Amino acid sequence: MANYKFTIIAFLCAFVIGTSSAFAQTVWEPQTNITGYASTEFNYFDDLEGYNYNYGVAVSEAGILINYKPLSNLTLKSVFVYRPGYSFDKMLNEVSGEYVLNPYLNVKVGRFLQALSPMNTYYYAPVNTSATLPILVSNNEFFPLNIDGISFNGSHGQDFKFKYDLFGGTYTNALFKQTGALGFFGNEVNYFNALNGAEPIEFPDFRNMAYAGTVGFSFKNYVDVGVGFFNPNNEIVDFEMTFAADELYPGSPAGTQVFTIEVEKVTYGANLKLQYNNTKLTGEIWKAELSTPQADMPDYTTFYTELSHRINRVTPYFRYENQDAGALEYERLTAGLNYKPTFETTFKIEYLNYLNEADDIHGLVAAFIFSF
Amino acid sequence: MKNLLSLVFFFVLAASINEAYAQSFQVIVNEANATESLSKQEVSDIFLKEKTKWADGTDITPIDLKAQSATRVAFSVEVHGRSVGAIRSHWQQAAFSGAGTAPLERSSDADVIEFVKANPGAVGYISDGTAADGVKVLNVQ
Repeated sequence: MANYKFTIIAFLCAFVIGTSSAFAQTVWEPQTNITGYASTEFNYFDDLEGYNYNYGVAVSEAGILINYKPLSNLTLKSVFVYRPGYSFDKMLNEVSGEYVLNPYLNVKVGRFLQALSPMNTYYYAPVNTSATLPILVSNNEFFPLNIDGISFNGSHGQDFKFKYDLFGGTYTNALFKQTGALGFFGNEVNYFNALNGAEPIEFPDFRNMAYAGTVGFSFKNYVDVGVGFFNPNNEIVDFEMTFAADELYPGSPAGTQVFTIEVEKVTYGANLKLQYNNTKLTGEIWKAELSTPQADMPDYTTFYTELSHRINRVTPYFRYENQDAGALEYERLTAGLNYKPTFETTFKIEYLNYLNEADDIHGLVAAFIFSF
Repeated sequence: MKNLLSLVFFFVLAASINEAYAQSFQVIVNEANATESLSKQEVSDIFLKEKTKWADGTDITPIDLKAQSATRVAFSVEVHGRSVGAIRSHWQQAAFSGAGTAPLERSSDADVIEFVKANPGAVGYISDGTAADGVKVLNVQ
């Protein structure tokens, strides 16, 4: 029951505050917006250990969004995105209703993409400039993709704007969900851990409660800065260790043992966007402090920066990422072109280079996206 | 390698050529609206929902023509400096990221005029040759 206290209090607050709606249109008419896409992706990597093929092609994403606005101050949104191998629960990315209580306060209830990281809200293929998501978003080591719960959000100002989003609810652990034609993206930590001789990490699909928040400022389209935190209840994690004969004690048999630990985790980070005409620079830095009742664990940190410049229908981009996942550190460089001749068609091609002490990987990703 | 670079250069160059359109639309507002003129940048901000209030604090309600309309094609290039497809992509991005939804659309100039007449905060655009009866035409610089 204690886990639901936050949600119940939040609901009550929403109703106590009451409504003061502003109707812009004299005669309101309900609005429906349906949009969607299908992305076919080709992956090539020069040398992947443990994969049957080093190239492949697949429908990597196919999504549909339905927005329905029955009232000027109520928006219902649902987004369903197919990804190979995902369960229905994972594919139902969003289904929520958002009510505008007043110009400074919106209340959103349901399942929604959490807004801690601006890039997390650019999760869908036609929205993201590059063909791959930053590791920060695809690995979910710092925060989940979405939350089932309630969000209080709003903004104040026109040119100079203050924004906030405070939310809480239940999330499903989606760590290291594999994506892409080969299923390599989202699997980097386990892949490099295996190369470095470390045990793979398996996370059960548990559900957990968390509360989080972000505040930010923007000036027109030129500058956008924000900070955020994510604070979940302690996570129960099972991990498996394999022992050789005599490793535990003289005469001990070879075998596998499963340990259950309770991990305390707090993550926080900052984001920045600078834009001038068609040139855009974005960046985020996040840190996760982890500990168990027995001991502190190494912190996780991640950083990425992306530079892009749109020349009418073509947008070249470059991204640098640094991922420090406890004992494992690796970098990724991405350079690519996004070509969008029409609304309906987008073509992306990019080169990736993973840098790790155990192995450097060179890859090529091409994605063709139909939108409607 | 040299050939490949040349190919990429010409590809980028060809894709970045913009077509030029003469202004062939008029921007209209409700007769009760005190505004007399707007800059192209202000009109663009309004239709991208980046500017949401008139000077008196009234909410702005932009109304678009359908994507196939020749007037919308001209308006988009002249005001936004981008094609209708690029603007539709902007709204698709906004819808998926939760940043907002596209303005309402109407299929004809007559429908846009009716909407603007009925809504004090509305702003729309119609073809240059259409009589703007019952609405106010803004001076757009």
